[in-house]
Amino acid sequence: MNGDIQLVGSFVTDGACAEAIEALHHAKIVSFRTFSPFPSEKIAEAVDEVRGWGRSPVRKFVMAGGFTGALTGLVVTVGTSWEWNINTGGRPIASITPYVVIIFELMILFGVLGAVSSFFFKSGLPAFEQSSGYRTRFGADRFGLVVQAAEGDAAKIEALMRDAGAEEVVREAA
Amino acid sequence: MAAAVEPSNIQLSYLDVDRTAQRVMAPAGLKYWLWVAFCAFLVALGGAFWTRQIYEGLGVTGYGQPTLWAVYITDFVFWVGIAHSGTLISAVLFLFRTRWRTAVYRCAETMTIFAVVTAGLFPIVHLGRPWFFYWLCPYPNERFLQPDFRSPLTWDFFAISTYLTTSTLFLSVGLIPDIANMRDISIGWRKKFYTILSCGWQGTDSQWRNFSMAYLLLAGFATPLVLSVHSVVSWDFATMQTPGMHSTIFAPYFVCGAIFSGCAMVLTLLLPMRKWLQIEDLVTVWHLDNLAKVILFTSLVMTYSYGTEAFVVWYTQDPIEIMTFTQRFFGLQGYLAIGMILCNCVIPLILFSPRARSNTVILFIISIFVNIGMWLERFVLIAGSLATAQMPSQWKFYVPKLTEVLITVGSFGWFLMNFSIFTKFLPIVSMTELKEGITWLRKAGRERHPYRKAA
Amino acid sequence: MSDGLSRRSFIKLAATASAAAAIPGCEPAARKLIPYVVPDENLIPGVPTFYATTCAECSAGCGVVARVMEGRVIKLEGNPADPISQGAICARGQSALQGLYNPDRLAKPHRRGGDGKLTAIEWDDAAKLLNDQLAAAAKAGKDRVAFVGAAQGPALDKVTQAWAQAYNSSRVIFWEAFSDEPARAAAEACFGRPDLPIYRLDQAETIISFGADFVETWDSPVEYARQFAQFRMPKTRAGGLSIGHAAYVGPRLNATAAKCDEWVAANPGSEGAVAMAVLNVVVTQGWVSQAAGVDVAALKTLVADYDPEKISAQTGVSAATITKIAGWFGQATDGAVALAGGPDPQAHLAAFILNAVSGNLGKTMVFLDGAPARATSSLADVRAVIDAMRDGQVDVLVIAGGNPAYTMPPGDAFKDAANRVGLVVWAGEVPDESAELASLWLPTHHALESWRDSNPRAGVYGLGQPVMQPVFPSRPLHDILIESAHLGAGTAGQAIAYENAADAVSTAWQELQGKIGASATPKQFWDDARRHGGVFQAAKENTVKLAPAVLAQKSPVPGAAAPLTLWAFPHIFLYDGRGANKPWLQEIPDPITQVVWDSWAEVHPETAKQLGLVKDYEGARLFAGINMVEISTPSGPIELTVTISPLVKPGVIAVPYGQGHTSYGRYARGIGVNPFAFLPEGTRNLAVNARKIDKTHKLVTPLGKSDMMGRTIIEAMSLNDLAKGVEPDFGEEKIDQPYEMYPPFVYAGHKWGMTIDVNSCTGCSACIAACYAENNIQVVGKANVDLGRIMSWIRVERYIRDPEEIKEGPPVYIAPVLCQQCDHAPCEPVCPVFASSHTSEGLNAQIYNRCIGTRFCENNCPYKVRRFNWYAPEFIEPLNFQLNPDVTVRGAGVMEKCTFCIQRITTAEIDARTEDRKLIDGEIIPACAQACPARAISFGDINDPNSAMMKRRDDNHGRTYTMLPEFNALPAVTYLRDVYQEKGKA
Repeated sequence: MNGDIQLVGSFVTDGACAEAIEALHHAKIVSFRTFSPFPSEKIAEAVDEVRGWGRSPVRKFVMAGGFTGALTGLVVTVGTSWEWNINTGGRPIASITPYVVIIFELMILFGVLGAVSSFFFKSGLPAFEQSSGYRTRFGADRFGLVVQAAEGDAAKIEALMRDAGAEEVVREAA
Repeated sequence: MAAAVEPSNIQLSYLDVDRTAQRVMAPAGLKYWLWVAFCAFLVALGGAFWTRQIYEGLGVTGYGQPTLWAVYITDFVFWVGIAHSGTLISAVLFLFRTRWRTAVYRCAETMTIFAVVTAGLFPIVHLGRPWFFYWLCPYPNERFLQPDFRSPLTWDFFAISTYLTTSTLFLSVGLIPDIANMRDISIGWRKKFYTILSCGWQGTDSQWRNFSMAYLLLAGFATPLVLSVHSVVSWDFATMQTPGMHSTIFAPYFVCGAIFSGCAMVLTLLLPMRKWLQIEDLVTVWHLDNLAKVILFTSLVMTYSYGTEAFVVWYTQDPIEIMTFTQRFFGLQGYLAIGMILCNCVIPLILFSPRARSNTVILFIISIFVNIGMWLERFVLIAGSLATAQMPSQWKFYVPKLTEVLITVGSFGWFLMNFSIFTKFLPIVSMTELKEGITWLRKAGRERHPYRKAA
Repeated sequence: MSDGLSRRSFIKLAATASAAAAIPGCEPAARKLIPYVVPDENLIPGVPTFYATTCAECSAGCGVVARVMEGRVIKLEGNPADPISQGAICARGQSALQGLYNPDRLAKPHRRGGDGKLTAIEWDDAAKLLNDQLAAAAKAGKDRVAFVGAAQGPALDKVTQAWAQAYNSSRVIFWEAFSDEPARAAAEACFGRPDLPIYRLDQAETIISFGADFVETWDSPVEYARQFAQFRMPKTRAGGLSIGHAAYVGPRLNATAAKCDEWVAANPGSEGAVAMAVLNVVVTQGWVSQAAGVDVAALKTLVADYDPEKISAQTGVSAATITKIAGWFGQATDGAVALAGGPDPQAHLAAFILNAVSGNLGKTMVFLDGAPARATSSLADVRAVIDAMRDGQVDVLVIAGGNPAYTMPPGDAFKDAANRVGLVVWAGEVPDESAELASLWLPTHHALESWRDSNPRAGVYGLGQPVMQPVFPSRPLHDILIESAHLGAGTAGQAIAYENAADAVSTAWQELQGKIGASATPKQFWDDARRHGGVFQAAKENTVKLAPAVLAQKSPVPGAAAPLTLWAFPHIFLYDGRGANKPWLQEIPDPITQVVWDSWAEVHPETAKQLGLVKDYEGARLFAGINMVEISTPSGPIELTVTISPLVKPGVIAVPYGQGHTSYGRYARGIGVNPFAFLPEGTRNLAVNARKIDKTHKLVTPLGKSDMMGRTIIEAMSLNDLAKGVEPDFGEEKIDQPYEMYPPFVYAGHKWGMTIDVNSCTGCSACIAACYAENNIQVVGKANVDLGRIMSWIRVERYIRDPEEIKEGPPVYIAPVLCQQCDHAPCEPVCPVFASSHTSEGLNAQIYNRCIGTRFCENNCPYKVRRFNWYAPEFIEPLNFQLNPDVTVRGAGVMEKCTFCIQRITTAEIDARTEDRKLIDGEIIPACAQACPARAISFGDINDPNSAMMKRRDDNHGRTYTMLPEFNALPAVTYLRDVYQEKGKA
């Protein structure tokens, strides 16, 4: 992040916050981050425009997890049956049909584990020091927009944010 | 009741949501702890009798030939069934983007977790040698033997453990933003507690982005899982050659029954909670009304399934099947089956009336009846079918003894105790999602059918 | 099969001959429960030794082989060398072990103080007390000493006599509740000789039994069950394929009647009249054989009053029925036989006359040369002694066996008399009602611990040797008697020759050798006798003629039957009550009522209606009965639970003997009623009136419904169908060849299987007792049976045919059901931990250590043959001494079931391997098959088409079926259908 100060704008609605982000984007100011009490689609879209992220990478991990699970299921069931081949009720030693259940369940299990672990990993959790600019209200009923900027641009940025409908804008050292 | 809160509800703001949630979690009074103590007592009672059963052997129960499965397996299926509606509401309705879900899903999901935990106990209670239950789990062992993956009980083991893991993760992921919120507004040991649980969540755009994707996928996984789990449970019986159980209809029939009983249980829990914790403005009549509709619908499906079952029995023309079926309804314990029909098919029809659907008292009573009815259904299917199997010379009907009864009661104590403690320490309504859908909440306060107005 | 058995057993027996010679049978009893004081060199731990001896449970005197391991007898098996048992044994014989190891056995002598309290005393004091009193009595005069006890074989009975002589008395009573006195009296009247004939049922074409339950308790059940099975085998006779015609005359349909073609429901006590009526028809139809050479005119006058029409009112039997069975009897080309049981002398007379006039004397009923004289005392002698006791002419009374206080009618006569005797001494094992009368108790050896001999019939001399050291510090009765006789001889009477009981027996056998003139050296003779359990030789047949005098003596025609009659019958297991202290016999269900641990009042539905009783437990029948009735008897009213069944004649209340003990150990005490207590002397029926009382008492049974509901569980087919080769159709789903979804498993080596002939099975339940003994199965008691927790691995399934639904067939279907060892075992794939899995020899194995008790397997078992251990098993010491070391005792919480006696299979296979040979067919015999008197069960290798078991299937392919085929479980057990005669035929 360049710049030595940061402006913390707080908005009552996510719409306002999103406008501010667009405005900043037009002004070629892209070094910012947002806080919101709930996932807001408006903010997400605005941010996407700026950062050009695709969909979250979590999907890939889940995919991988699912495959691993299914494979494990197959190996465990068939493998153990072959190793301890015991005739029960004249069924084939490795009877795939009933094993499908196990395979399915393990696929789900591993998929889920993939999803959660990747979610934590990708969102940098757990993280125990608060990033600067976070206000407790951002977790409750306000939407925060924190912009890193050089001393000089501060006024312009504040103006942009206030136009977009910022409730207040605070300057603080980065 | 809902009418009373309407004015405040019109202007319901984000902070109101937080405040209500905080009020719910405020340090509890004597009444609450008495209630928890009472539940704990039931648990102790059940535990004591279970200990005795382990010490003396299963002989202390009323079990015998040929009903080697009875109350314990009934309880198992019952609690698993309860669990399912939780996942249905939190996952399936999430995928369908159903608005009314937001207020009730956390409650339902919590119920799921503790129901599964309770259900998981019963196969162990049921075992002749419970100290060896872990032999169902495949691991390299000194016996050089693995479980038989052909056995429906092994399927159960995998299905239930997967289900428990999944729903626990699903719940905790959903909890993180709320806990973060609590962290910010609480002090003292609670602050530390929530700080740890929240894992330093801040709700930045990137976090939300991953959160939404993870949550969506979890829901996507939970949905087929919930269907599979109860199908697997139903196969414990469907794979048996025992007449009255050996039927392909069981899987869908059980899944539907699970949702039916589960939604009823959600109501049973939600209605008193809603009153005592004063969250009427978060959980409005509109939500209850929708739950009631689900119950009504599933009840109709159950009625249809019973019909189908009867038809199939008649269609096979297998004398053994027919005899078992007639025994079920007109045999020595026919009254159980009749009671089941009353509770599951007749009484829920009351819900056709909108007035009933909005009257919390009636809803509560009906939900109790449905719970009883579904318990009876499982008992009739299991103990009843086994009692009149292939060998007439071996017929014998099962009557429970004190041990089974008290262990069952204890399981209810165990479930309610866990649930009550949860409500005090973790948000029982999802603040995040209520805020997201706050416009609907505001409408819900005013009119019964916000959807119509919206459309 | 029996060849294989004898072959194997003889190897074993020969091997143990020297051991038998070395066994210290008559040394002072060891004071510990370690059987061998000095371990003898033949004792190899884990390897059983077999000792031949004789069974003392009833008067049939079967030869048995005791299986002894680590010096403890763990099982009794039939002695293949013995012509009577031929290697089979009944349930009561099996249970002798529970008499031997009974926890209630008396351990020390006791004496009763003035306050009636018992105190343990030393043997010497006991002997002194006894001998002083005896001496005093002997001095006081003649016949002031009395002995009442059970007959214990010729040698020992002689000792008893001599002992009495020594105290100059002749009052010796050998008491048997159901004695053969009436038969002997009849024989004397008819043929002028008091000995009994033997019967050859297998050589008859028709059997008519007048109250003789010959497959249950009559005379020699094991032998007659075997003969009857052969009699019922479909044979090709002149008229094509046929089976023997059998009819049973009696008020209750018991196991015997269940196997007969015709149950002639006669009024109680009118069996004799029916017999005379049959005779009447035989005579009037001119079926009297010329060979018999009897005075037909005299016959005609004798039977004149017994015209079927006229008599039917008194007997309750229609003329048509009598004519029919008389036809069977008279027109039998291959010989016929009439049997008579019960106390009614007329029945015995008529039966003998029938056999004689139909020319079957010497064919199916044979008198042998040198048949044993009467072993039991006549009723007259018994009365005499009782009177003497009452009149105070007896100072010392020794009661040893027979339990007269319980079994001796009428009522309390014996008790009252005994109370007037100075010193009453009781010598026995488990203190019974008679012991309650005694002031001195002497614990004596069990038959399996002591020397004895038996002579059940001409040519059959059984030798009973001790098979183990005494369990308790008891003494052989006759050692006590001989000892005291030596003392007595000095004071009064004449001397006695023997040192002790063993000496008496061996001496008797030296005499015997002289008598039968065996060539061997005395030592050789003695050892062979001990090796084979006696000397068995064919006896010469005597030709006897019917004494004309008997035709002259007319017996009065019985009066009309009372509206309500109580009729008592010997319980198939408890017999006259001696079995009641043996848990096995209490827990094995009576084959017909399936009631356990109780005595009951069996009444017909009509009678029940008159009494105001209905089957309020219909539906799925959970128990045999619950409502009680009060029945008036001379000695006060009795209360009994009614079980309503169509298998008893209307107007009759059938009550079993055997229960109603006030003493006799924990297993017998306080159950049911004792008919001896109120029935008059010399009869088993009593006109009573009964009323319903609003008390309830549950008659517990492991049986659920009695209706087969058209399922293919026990099948029967008509002789016609069998002859034509028609498969009977029961409307069930037919599966021609086994349907295999997957490639079937191949069983390379052996594949064990079983064939069970329902036609032979009499429901005698010997297989169940054998299974209890062999496999350490726990007895669970009445309450647990009621909860459906009976543990027996094999059960005798009983279904009643509803004549409305199924027109033809046997009245009752009986067959043993055990684990069917299915190839597609439904129990196996449902077990999550492989506790139930298939062995390479086709067995459905249950691995106890692996079982975690999910009970899924039993739920999925169509045959419901698995048993779950609800509690940890409890074997009260010393009953646990009987446990078979080859079989694990299962713990609580595991499933168990029939294993085809896998321990026997493995042992045989190991033997074969060590001897480097192939298994011999018949070398392996499961306990049930081994015990079965009717030889209904055969076991063998399915892969070996020449095995006796497979041959039996082929020979009877017309009758083979498997239970519940629609489940396609492919059982390894194949049943052979029961065969019945069509109605109206022959």
